[in-house]
Amino acid sequence: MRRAFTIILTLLLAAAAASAQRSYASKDAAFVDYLIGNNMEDDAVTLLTRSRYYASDTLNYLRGWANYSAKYLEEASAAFDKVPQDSPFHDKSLFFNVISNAHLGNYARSSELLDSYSGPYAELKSLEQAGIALLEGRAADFITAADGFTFSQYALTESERALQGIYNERYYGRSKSPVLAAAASAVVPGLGKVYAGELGEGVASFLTVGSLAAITAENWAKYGIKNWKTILFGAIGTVFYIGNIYGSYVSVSIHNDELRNVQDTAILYHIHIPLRSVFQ
Amino acid sequence: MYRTLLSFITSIFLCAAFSSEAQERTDWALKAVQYERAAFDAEDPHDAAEALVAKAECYKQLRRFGDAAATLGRVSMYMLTPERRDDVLYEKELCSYLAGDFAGAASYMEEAGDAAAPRRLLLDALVLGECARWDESRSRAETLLGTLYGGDELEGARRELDALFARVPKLKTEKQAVFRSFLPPLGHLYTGHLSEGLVSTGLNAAAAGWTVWQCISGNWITGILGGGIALSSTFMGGMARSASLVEDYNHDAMRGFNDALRALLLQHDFAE
Repeated sequence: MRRAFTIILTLLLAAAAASAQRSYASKDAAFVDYLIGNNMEDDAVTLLTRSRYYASDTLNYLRGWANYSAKYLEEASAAFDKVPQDSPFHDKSLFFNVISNAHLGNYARSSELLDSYSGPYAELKSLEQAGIALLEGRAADFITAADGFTFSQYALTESERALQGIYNERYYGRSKSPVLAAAASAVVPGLGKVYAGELGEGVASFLTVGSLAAITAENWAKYGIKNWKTILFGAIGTVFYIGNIYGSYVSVSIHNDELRNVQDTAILYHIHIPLRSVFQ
Repeated sequence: MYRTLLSFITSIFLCAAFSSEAQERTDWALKAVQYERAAFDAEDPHDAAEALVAKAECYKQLRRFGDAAATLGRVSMYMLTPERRDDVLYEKELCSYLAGDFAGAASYMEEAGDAAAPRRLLLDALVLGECARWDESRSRAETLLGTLYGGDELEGARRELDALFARVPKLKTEKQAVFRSFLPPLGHLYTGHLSEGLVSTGLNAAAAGWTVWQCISGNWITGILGGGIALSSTFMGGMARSASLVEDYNHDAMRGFNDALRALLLQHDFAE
C-alpha cells in the first residue's frame, strides 16, 4: 500500500511539474512590443492569454496593453485594474485604463480612477479630468480641471488648447435650434432644411410642396374644393408640408447630435494622444 | 485487484499530465504566435522565412486565409531555394484565392510564371475563371487534363470541358443597361427580368398618359408638374433599377460558371 502511495505521489509531482512549465512575462516584453508595433495585436493577446506565465504586474500590464492595442477595451481595463500602485507600470496602466473606460462610455469609472491618482503626472491628470468632464457635460468640473493647464508642456499643450476650444464651442458657440428650423419650414417649405445645412434637400422640398400646392390651386380654381383631384392633391400636399416641417426639426437635431459626436471623438482623441508621448 | 487499481490511477495521472499538451497541439493560434517568435528570434533570414511559412500554415488551419496570405507576403522570397519559392508562391496564390482576393491570386500566379504541376494548373484555371479570363482558364484546364489522361479518357474529359466553356457567361455592362432603359422595358430585358420590365413599362405609360390627359383637359399645371414628377420617378427609377440588376446578374452568372468549373475539375484525381 505504501508503495502505491509513493507511486501516486511521484506521478502527482510529475504532473504538477509538467503543467508548471511557466516563464516570466517580462522575458517576452520585447516580443510583445514587436507584435504590437507590427499590427499583430491579436497575436500579442493570444500569446499573453494562452501561454503559461507566472502571475506578475508585468503580465497584467502587458495583457492590458495588448488588449488595448487590439481594441478589446473591456479586457484591457480588467487587466490594467490588476496592476498595483507600487508597480513601475502603474501610472501608464492607470491612464490607459482611464482611456479604455472613456471609450466604453464608463465615464464614472474613468473619473474614479483619476481621483485616486496622486502620482507625478499632475497636469496630465488635469487634462484627462477636463476631457472626461466635457464628455459628461460637467462644465463646472471642466473649469476646475482646466485650472491645472499650464500650456507649457510640449506633449500636452496642443491637447489642452483643443479641449479649451471644444469647451468654448460647446458652451458659448451658436448652436442651431430645431424649433427655429421647423418654424422656417412652416413659413417657406424647405427653408428649415437649408438652415440645417442641407441645401439640396431644402430646394427639393420647396419644389415638391410648391408643385403640389400649385396643382391643388389649379384644380380648386377650375373644379372647386370638393373635386376629388383637389382633395387628393391637397391631402398629399398637406402631408408633404407637415412632413417637411417635422423633417426640418429632425434634421437640425441630427445636425446637433452629429456635431456633439464629432466633438466627443475629438475629446477622446485629445485625451489619448498625449499619453503616447508621455509614456513613450 | 490492487494492481488493477494502481494501473487505473496511473492512467488517470498520465492523462492529466499530458492532456494539456495534447490541447496545445491543436491550438493553432498559439502555434502561429510561436512561429512568429521563431521568425523574430531567428538569426538566419532563411529560418525566419521558413518560420513565417509555417505560421501561414497555422492560419490556414484556422481558415484565416487572408491572414495566411498576408503572412506569406512577408516572406523574403530570395531567401528560399527556387523549388521552395515555387511552393510559397503556390501557397500565396491559394490563400489569396481562398480569401476571395482573386486579383491578388492572379498577380501571384503571374509572378510564379508558367505552370506545369497539376495542382498549379488547377489553381490557375480556377483563379483565371474568377477573373473572367475564360480563354486562359480553359487553356490551363486543358493542359491540366492532358497531364492526367491520355487517349479516349482525355477526349472524354475535353468534351466535358468544351460543353462547359460553351456556356461561358456573357457579362453585362451598366452603361448598356442604362442606354437600353431609354426604351422601357429593354433595360430590364437586358438582364432577363421580363415581368419587372413590364411593370416598369406600365408605370411609365400610366404617368405619361396622366400627363397627356391633364394637358389635353387644359390642366397644364397638374399635367406638367404632377405628371412630370410621376414620370421622372418611374423613368429614372427604372433606369437605376436596370443598372443595379446588372451587378446581380454578373455576380450570379460568374458564380454559377465558376462553381461548375470547380466541380468539373475537382472530380479528377490530382494525386501527384
